[in-house]
Amino acid sequence: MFPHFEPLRERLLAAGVKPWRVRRYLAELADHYDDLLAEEEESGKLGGIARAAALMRLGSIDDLAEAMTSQGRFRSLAARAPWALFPGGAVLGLAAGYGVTTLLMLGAVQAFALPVGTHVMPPGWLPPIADAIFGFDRYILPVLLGWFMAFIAVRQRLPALWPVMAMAGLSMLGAGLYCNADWPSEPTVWRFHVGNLLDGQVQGSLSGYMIHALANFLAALLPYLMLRRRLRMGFAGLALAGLLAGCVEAPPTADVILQKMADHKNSVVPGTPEDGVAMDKAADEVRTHLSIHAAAAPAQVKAVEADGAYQVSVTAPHSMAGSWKMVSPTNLTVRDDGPDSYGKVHTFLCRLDQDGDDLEGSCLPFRDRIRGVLHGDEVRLAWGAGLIHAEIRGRLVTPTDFAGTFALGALGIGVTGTDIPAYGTKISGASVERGEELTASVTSQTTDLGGVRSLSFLGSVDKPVEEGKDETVAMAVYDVEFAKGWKLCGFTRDGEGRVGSVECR
Amino acid sequence: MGQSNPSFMNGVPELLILSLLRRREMYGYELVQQIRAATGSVVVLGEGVVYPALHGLEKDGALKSHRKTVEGRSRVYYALTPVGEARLTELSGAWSKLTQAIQDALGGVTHVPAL
Repeated sequence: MFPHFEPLRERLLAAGVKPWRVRRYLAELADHYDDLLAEEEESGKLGGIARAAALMRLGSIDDLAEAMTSQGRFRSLAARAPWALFPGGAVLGLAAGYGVTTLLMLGAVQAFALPVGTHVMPPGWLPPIADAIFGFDRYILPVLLGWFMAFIAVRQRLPALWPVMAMAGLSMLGAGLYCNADWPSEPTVWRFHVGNLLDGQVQGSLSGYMIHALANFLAALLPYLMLRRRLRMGFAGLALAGLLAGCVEAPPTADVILQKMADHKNSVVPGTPEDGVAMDKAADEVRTHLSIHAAAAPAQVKAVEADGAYQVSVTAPHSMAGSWKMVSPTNLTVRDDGPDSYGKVHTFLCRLDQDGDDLEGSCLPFRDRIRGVLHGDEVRLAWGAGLIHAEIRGRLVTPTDFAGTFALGALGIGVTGTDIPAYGTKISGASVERGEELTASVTSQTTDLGGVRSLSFLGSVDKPVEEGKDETVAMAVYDVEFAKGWKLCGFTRDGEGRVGSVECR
Repeated sequence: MGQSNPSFMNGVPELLILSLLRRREMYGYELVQQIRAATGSVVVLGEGVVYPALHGLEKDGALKSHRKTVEGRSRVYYALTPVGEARLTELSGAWSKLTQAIQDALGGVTHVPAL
């Protein structure tokens, strides 16, 4: 299968489209894409742009998926009527197994039955074979059928409810199976009975039955859960691999990035974290000494109180969790009648969450989710709809700033890079500067919130020295995470660099 | 280059597909290019979405498909069936009536009942 269509494949399977039809559709799309790419390259487009143009002509994932899923007749039975396939299929499968068992036993009886009036004993090899067949029905068949249901469910990306219900039913029915074959010690009719403990004909051990049913259930369920987990990991891994695979070009160095940023005059210039802020002690304030040695939050905080002061050390791994202001082109314009160009450079605001190295979040004014990965200092962010996505490839220059270049990707992989700068600044969220030394005084009102856990520099604003006067003083504004909550705190300095005031709201 | 207004496209792709495949069998890419050329780029489809339409027509029995290797590339070719011929005749007739009616409406032609 053409691997780049993985997201579309998932969409179609999840919508219940028959797997064989999905395979055929994607194969035809892959052929079509090859033809379009050849046509675009013949028209003189460069490699990355040609690939992007071919994909755009092919259609967005939304359109391609909608065209197929809107036709309900392409949906499989498992998707249309899971209630019939799973419970019904489980019962039918077990019934078939019981039926085969019955036929085998009847065949054996027929083969060894002698004329009435004679005494007959079964051959010695028959009982073990009969036991093996019954054992297969009780121990193996329910599990095999459960695996089959799991396979169908995973293949069709169905909710776990149906296969789990089927497995539970199979386990209970299978565990209760019993077979009796009374060999005739006298010339009479053979007695042969296949049934289930649940039918009340045979009194079995309830605890034994429950253990057996549970064992069957777990034996069927565990591979299913592993398969589901593997499927999710595989998909996520593919997306991540695709993201990284697109980064063929070495990331720009910080010097190059900063030089580009300096060269690239834009309406929005990212701020930089302030250096440590020194504050004077006030008589009615509790002095808090903050020695912050960290890269970024979420931070591990160790606070030591001595002589009425806190000595706080914050250590943390790199993290981009928080709110960011980013600057990047947001789209690519492909023209038939002229050179391709990248769209206008825009500012956008994002909220990122981080799970391990994976980043995910939302941005305004984008409609799409933004996803990415932070590996060491190296950051990749991607967003976009359908087959085309935009990327930022860069590095964390500081814990609250990243910078890089804009790139274009398609179908989960990067197809072209540019030298257009793209960068971002963290505007809120737990974040502290590496090696920062900060001595801060906070009011007793603020200290009710507990010790300071982390800081994030938001920017500088001009504050009037006195109300109604034009003279202003620079105020550095931080987002401060206290043990019991968040505060927005502003610090001003006097002409000698000392902190003149602090206010937290 | 935008795509055709979808609200006016109901049934049009099916009609064009059947009409073009009546001439000869084609594969998907070829078919889309032929639609573009035959309509003077007035009808422009999202190229990938032609395949669900082809699959639907095949399922209805209007088309049949087979894989054929041409110049080293294996492609799925679609051809019209007798059912497809009948469907085309039916759709063409309906389309002709519709376009004539719209033409009349746009031209301001008034049909006066005979006395």
